[in-house]
Amino acid sequence: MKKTFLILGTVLALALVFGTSCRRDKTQTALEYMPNMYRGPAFEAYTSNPNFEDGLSARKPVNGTIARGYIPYDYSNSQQGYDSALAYLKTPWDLRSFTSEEKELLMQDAKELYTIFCSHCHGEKGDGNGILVEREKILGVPSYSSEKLPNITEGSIYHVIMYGKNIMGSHASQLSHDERWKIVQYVLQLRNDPSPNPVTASVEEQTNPEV
Amino acid sequence: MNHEKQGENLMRTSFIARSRSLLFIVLLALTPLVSMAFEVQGDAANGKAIFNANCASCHKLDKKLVGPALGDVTERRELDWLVAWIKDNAALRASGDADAKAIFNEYNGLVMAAFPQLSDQDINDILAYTVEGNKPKVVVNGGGNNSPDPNTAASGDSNLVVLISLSVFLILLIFLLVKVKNTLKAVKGDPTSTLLEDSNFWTRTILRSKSFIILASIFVSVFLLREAYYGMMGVGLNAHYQPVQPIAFSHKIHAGDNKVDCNYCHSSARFSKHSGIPSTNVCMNCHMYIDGSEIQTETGELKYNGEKSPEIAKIYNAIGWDPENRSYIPDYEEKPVKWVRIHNLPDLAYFNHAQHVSAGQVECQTCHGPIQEMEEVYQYSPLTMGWCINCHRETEVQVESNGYYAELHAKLKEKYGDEPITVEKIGGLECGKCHY
Repeated sequence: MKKTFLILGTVLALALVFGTSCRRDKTQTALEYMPNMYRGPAFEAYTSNPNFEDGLSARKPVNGTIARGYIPYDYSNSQQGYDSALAYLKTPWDLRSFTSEEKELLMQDAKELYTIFCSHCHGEKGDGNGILVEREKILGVPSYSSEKLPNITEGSIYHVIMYGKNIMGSHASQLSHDERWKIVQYVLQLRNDPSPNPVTASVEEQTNPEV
Repeated sequence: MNHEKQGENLMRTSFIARSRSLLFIVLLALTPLVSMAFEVQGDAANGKAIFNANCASCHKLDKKLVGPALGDVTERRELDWLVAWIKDNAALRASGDADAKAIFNEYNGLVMAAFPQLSDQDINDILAYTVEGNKPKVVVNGGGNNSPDPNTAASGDSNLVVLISLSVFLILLIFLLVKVKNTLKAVKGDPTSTLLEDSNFWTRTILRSKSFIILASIFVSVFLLREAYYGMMGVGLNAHYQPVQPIAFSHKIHAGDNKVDCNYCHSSARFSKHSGIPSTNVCMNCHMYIDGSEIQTETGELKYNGEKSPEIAKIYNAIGWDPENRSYIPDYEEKPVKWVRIHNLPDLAYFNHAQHVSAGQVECQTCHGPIQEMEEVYQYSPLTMGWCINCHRETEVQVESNGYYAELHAKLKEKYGDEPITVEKIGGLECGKCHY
């Protein structure tokens, strides 16, 4: 009797072990029980679409479409456009009419946006020492300080976010009109407040003895 | 390390200064070879720092960027001209200098910034760097780096070869043993039997044994039941799904090593249902400059022999960027990159990224796992209903400093007092929130 249980146990254990050895291929999706519950008849944003020649579901707007809330930008992507934006383009809001609370909220948003979209090249403090520069992936990012870049204005900053400059690309597709202007306010603040970054200073002190 | 380098450079420059007269004679002898070149007196290490901070956004040493390549600029131009140009190129052009006008027109009137803050010594340092930095780097074992290691590529095939040769060997062994057995039997005088007869005999004996049949059927049924159970439990579960993508994009390099914010590329996660697969123009914001040619292997060799990375070349091919002329090819038929979708909720459930990212302030990693460590992305969470519900029960709503909930928060405080306010309490378990 004891022997029977022993053999039975061994067989069961073997069956379970053999089962685990069959793993699913990670590059394949799992079985779907009722695909018509999973996949609706409507096309989703990124699915391929046989109704169009290029097979894309995400269509470009018809030529001449104007998005709701769109604000036209008349300065061209050229040296002339840059020069006139530098001279004439101004922030669309009258910041003097903002209460201090509104202003604080605006700068809070602006800082968040700056951290997401600018800081990896231009640095948290706008000193041109973002992590990509530190790691020598991208070089030649200027500091915003009025000493290093005397000839920029709110208009030229906006123009550069819009179209890019030199090796910086256009960030118009990632940021809305208002978000771009918020970032401009933050860059202006960094320009006027060139306080040294306490974090990098302490890092330098720590690493220097090892050198 | 830096100090050492600097010291070395200083030594080199002072050595040059001391043996200047000797060098002069040598240079005189070489004059026909390097007619324009002049001797640069500068500290290349300092020059590199100034170059990287001020010039590198438009110039590289070895190739054209926004402006011309500067590696051999000391061979092309006179020192005085370069100093004048760098300090204020507009003034130089205004003075009617033909060379200055020519280069200005060659680059379609693109204005180079003036650098009046650089001293003559700074400029000399920069020029010393353009000479020093342009010396060919020693590439050890230059050839054959591009082709994948034959050992790793063929490892799947070689396993198969081993298995086949092993089975051939075992079959041969069986025949050999049967032969030995028959020879021994023949020597003893017993009747011999062929391999087929032997196997028939064993099969019949086994199949007649009742206990074997019982054990075998238990084994098979437990095995099948187990497979069926796990098979059915795995229906629609795609955790660890890791398809092969058309471009070997590494989240580890971008989000981990270089700490680019998730929202930089997936910019629509903040305000849209979808987190947005970045279109190639977003890639180009950095990859106009970074073409992967500087990537090094672990041993410090250039991975692609100074050529652009084949993966980054796929972006250029998709959007129509000409890296030689540094411009988009006009009227190029763009080829969208066919990324394979990994996270896919069934159509019966609604999920909105903005709701979680902006209003809920949930970290990307809560659902997507350690994405900044993933060389290749896989699905981290099961994305089952139980998983969603569990999180809604446990997660406390971030009401502090979140304007979105200001009014609601006051009402909830009244209702629940000091109890933690979870997503469940603001209706996160209602059927209609996700199914409609």
